[in-house]
Amino acid sequence: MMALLASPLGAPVRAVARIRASVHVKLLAGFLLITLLFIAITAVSLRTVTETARQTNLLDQAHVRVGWSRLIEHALAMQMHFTSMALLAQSEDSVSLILRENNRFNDTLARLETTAPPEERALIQAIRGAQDDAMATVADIANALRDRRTADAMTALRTRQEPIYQKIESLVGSLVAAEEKRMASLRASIEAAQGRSLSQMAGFAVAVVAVALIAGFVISWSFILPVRGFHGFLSQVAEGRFGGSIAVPNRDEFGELAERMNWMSGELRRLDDEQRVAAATLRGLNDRLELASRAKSEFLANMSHELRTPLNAILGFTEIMLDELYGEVPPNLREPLVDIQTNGRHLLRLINDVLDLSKIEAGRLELGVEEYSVQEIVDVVHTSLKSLAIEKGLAFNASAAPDIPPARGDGRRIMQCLMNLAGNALKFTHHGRVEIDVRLDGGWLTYRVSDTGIGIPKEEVENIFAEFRQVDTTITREYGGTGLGLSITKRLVELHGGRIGVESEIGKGSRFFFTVPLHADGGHA
Amino acid sequence: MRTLTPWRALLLGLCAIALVGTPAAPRGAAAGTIKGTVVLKGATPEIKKLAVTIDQYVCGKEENPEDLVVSPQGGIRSAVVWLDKPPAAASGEALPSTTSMDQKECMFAPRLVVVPAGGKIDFLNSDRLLHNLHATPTANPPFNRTQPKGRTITISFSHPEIIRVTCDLHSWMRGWVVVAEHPFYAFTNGAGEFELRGLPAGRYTLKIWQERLGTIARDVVVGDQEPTAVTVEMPAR
Repeated sequence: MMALLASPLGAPVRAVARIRASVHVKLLAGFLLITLLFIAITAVSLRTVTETARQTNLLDQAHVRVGWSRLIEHALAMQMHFTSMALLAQSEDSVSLILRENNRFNDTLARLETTAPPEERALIQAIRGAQDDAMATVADIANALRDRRTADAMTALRTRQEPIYQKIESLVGSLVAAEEKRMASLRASIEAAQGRSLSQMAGFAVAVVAVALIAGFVISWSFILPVRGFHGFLSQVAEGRFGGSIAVPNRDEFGELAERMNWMSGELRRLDDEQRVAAATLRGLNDRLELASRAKSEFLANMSHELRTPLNAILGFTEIMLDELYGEVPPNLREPLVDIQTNGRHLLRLINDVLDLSKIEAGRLELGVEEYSVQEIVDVVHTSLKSLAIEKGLAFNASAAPDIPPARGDGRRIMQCLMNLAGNALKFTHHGRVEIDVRLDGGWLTYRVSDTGIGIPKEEVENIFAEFRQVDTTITREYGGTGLGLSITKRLVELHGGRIGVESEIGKGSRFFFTVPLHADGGHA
Repeated sequence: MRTLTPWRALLLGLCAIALVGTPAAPRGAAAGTIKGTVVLKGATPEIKKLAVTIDQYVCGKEENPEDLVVSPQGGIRSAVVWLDKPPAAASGEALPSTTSMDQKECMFAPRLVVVPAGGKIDFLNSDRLLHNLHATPTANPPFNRTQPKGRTITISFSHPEIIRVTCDLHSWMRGWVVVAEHPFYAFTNGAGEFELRGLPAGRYTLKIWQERLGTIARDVVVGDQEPTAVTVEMPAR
C-alpha cells in the first residue's frame, strides 16, 4: 500500500486530504462527479439517437420519393402504352385510361414536389413544365381520336408526345439518381454516426470507470491514511510511549482528530512525568519508612527480651516466696505478693505479645511446622480455660470432628490463636455459653469460637484485627488485655496461608473463625 | 333605454322585420316585376360529403355535392325560374350571349349558367390537371372534350334545353347549362331569391326547376305598379 502512495497516485491522495472540506462534502463531490458523467453520457447518446432518427426519417422520405419517381416512370410508360392502345382500338375507354394515367402522373409529381429537398425543386419544376406540355398533347390526341382524326393523333404522338416523354424520362432518371445519391450519403452518415456513437459510449464508459476508480481510491485513501496513522499512534500510547505526535495532511475531521490526539498525547506525557516523579518520591519515602519500622521492631524485640529477663527473676522470686521456700509469709504480705505475681504475669504476657508482633513485623517469626493433633489442641485450650468459665458461670464446650487426620503446621501457634479467640470469648461473655468446634472441609481446617457475649458493632468489624484495637477504650479498662491478641492471631493465621473472619450481632454474640490448610507448608506465604 | 320593456322590444323587432320584408319598389320601373323566393318545403336534407380518392393534391380529400344548397332560412340556391309562356309584346332585358364556366378544384364554378339560345359558353380549366367535358343533350349536339389547364373550350348552344355537364375523370363534378328560350329566365341566389323584371301586368305561370327537386309550376298575377312578391315552396323528395 505504501508503494501505491509512493506512485503518482500519492500526490492526489495528499491533495484531496489537504482540501479544507468535511468528509461528507468530499464523498458527495465524488458521487456528484460520477453522476454528472452519467448525465453527460445520457445527453450525448440522446443527441445521437435524435440525430440518427432524423437521418433515418430523411432516408425513409427519400426512399418514398424514389418509389414515387418509379411510379411516375411507370405512369409515363402506361400513358405511351394506352395511347398506342387507343390508336388501335379507337375507343372512349382506352382514351380515358390515358387521361387517368396522365392525372396520376400529376398527382404523384405534386406529392414529390411537396416533400422534395430544395436542391431538387428545379428538377421537379422542369418535369412539371414538360408535363404541362404533355397534358396539352394528351388532350389533343384524345380529342383527335374522338374526332376520328387518327392521322393528327399519330402525328401528335410521334412529333410531340414521344420527345416530351423522353425528356421527362431523362429528368425523372436524374431525379432518381439524385435521390439515390442522397440516400447513399444518408446511409453513410447514419453509419458514421452509429460508429461515432459507439466509440463515444465506449470512451465515456471507460472514463466513468476510471473516474470512479480513481476518485474512490483517492478519497478512500485520503481517509485511510490518517486512520492508519492514528492506529500506529494509539498503539504507541497503549505501549506507554507518550508524548509522540502525529502529522496528517488532512484538513477535515481527521485533521481535527489528529490535533486532539496530539494535545491528548502531550497531556498524557505531562501526567505520566508527574506521576513518575510522585512515584519516585513515594518509593524513597516508603524505603525510609520501612527502615524505620524495621528498626522499631528490632528495638522492640530486643527490648522485650531484655525486659523479660528481670521480669522472670521477679516472678520466680515471688513464686518462691509464695511457696514459702524462704519461710512463712506473713498474712499481711501474701496479698501484695499475689498482686505482684498477677501483674507480673500480665506484664510478661504483654511483653510476649509485643515480642511476637514485632517479630512478625520484622519478618523474623518462623513457623515450626510439624505434625500436630487438632483434638489435642482443642483439649488443651478447653482445659486451660475451663476454670475461668466455671468462675464466670458460663457453659463451655469444645469439640473437634472425629474424622480429622493429623494435621501439619505450627501446633503451638495454632493453639495460641485458638486460645486468644476462646479467651476473648470468655472475657466478653457474661452469661450463656462459649463453644469451640473444628471441622475439616476439603483440605481446610476451620476453627470456630462462638459466644453469646456483647457482640461487635458493624462499623468496628473491619478494624478489629488491627494492632492495639479494642472496640473502644472503655473496654480496655473494663476487660483488660493488651489489644494485640486478635492482631497477632490474624498474622499467625496468615503465616499459615489461612484467613480469619468474624460474624457478629451486637448484644447477641459473636462467631470468630479461622481457616488454615490441613497441611500447611510453613513457608512465608 | 332605461325602461325598455319586453313589449317595446317586441314592437321594435316587428318594425325591423316589416322594413326588411318589404323592400321599396325600384322607382321608374315601367312594367311589373316579380320578386320571389324559392324555399324548401320540409326538412333540409343532411349534406353527405363525398370522399375523394384521386388527384387529391388539386381536388382535396372530400367534396360537397352541392346538388341541393339550402340557406338557414330555407331558401334554395341555383333554382331556375322562368315564365312558361312569355308575353308576346314585351321583350325583357336580354341575357348576355356569352358567359363562362370554370373548373376549379374539381368543381364547376359556377355550377349553373344561363345562356340565350344561340349563345356561347367559354369552358375554362384552372386546375393543373386534365378535365374532360362531357354532355349528351337531346336538342343540341353532344360534346366530349379533353381539356388541359389554361385551354378554353367554347361551345355554342342553339336550342333551349337544360343540359347536364360532367367530367369523365372526376365523377362527382356536375355543371348545368340552361339554354333560355326567352329573356324571362332567372335563377336564385344563395338566399333563394330571384327577380323577373319588365313584365306587363297580367296572369302568368312560373316554372321552377332545381337539379334535385325537379320542375314545378306556379301561377302568379303581376300588377304594373308594385313588385309582386311570391314565395315558391318546392317539396323535398
